[in-house]
Amino acid sequence: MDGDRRARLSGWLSDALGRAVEIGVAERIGTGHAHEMWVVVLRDEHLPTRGDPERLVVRIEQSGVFATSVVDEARWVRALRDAGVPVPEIVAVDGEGDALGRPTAVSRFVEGADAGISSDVADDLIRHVDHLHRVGDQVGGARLPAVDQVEHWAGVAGEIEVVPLIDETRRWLLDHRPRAARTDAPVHGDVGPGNLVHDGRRVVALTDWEFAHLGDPAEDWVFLATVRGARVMPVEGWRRRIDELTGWRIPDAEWRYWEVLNHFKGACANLTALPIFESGHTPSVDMLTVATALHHHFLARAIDIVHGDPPLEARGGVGRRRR
Amino acid sequence: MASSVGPERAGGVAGRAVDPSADSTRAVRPSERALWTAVIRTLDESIRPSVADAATVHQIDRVIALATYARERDVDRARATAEHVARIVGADDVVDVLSDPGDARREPLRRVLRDELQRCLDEERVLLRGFGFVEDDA
Repeated sequence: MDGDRRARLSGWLSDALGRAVEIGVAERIGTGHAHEMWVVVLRDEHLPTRGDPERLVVRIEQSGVFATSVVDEARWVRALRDAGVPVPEIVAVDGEGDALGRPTAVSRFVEGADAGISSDVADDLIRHVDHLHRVGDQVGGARLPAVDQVEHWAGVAGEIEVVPLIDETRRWLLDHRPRAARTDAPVHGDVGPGNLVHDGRRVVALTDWEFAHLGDPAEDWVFLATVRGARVMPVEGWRRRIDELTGWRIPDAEWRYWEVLNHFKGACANLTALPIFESGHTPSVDMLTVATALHHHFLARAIDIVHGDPPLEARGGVGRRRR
Repeated sequence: MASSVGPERAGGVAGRAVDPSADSTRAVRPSERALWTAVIRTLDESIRPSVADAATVHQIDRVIALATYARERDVDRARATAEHVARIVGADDVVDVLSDPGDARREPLRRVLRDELQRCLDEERVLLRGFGFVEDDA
């Protein structure tokens, strides 16, 4: 982080925190994400005797990667914190980009263990995600936004590139949407290992809420089991454990619908990295990989399920969830 | 005595006569493949061995992956695939054909698009490895 940016960030955070602070160490973490992310350590000259230095996570929008908003994300995180969901504390939001030129949100750094996901952590994650799904659509006094994921992500991708297989998958999803699909449950949208902090036994925080919306819990559970959690345990293991701990389960045909939806979302969202890479805004290998290899990987998985799925079995209502 | 590089040959390249039957007017241009190979080998053999910092070595590996991708991908294939698709669907909409179970062109079209997707994935695998992504993840 160059000197000018440090100065501007220091000034903004001093105003937001109500005391004079300076940015000490600043470490960039990752370049293939929705945000340009930094972990910064504050030098707080007015509190020279404090113990551990205060660390913050700075998330700066990257000109449209994943077509998400730090303002919406911060609103969600604050509301869910009030509802007892473990999330990082938001300390400052600059929706206009006055401080750093782009919309930015800052949260407190959450300390965690540098270890894999144990069965205890996996169980705790399931319980927290189930709690999230049950907090209702009126959180913190404000109704949370509902976004039709199929049309939203098809629109985002269509702004960038015409991809016939995305359009075909969109039509399939619209034709096969389960009648019982809910639109009122808070959904993380990208839940699982990589987007949580744990201490080795319990989940300390669920992070990265940029895909959050009101929708159907199935979206989170299937994403967890088939994408983010795939290295932790097999899909059937996740399904069984989710059922045992929460009572949630769905028939296989409906499961396939949500698997297609999640991979469709991934294909569309990852495509947003293409203009960021091609414009030279973020010419990183990570950004290129997201725009090409990850986009194609998610798209291939979606259409392979679509093509292998018996359409009549999946069409319409295919059973109800059991709580 | 006439000079072999006299004014009468001024239109040649580097003083030599132009042979209109050969592509001798272009400047010397090494192939894209040779250029990317030079980048890869320089990074791999000359730069990486002298770097101790693990994070920097990782970045070098990522750039090698990018250069390998750039070297190996078939930049002419997209046009050939587009022409193939156009031959199948004619003036009709690609998505309409893909979404119509009664259209006999549907399966051939799907095969072309899926094969193209697979070839992209094959070329991009080198990027995924550097990203720390296991294909079983999804």
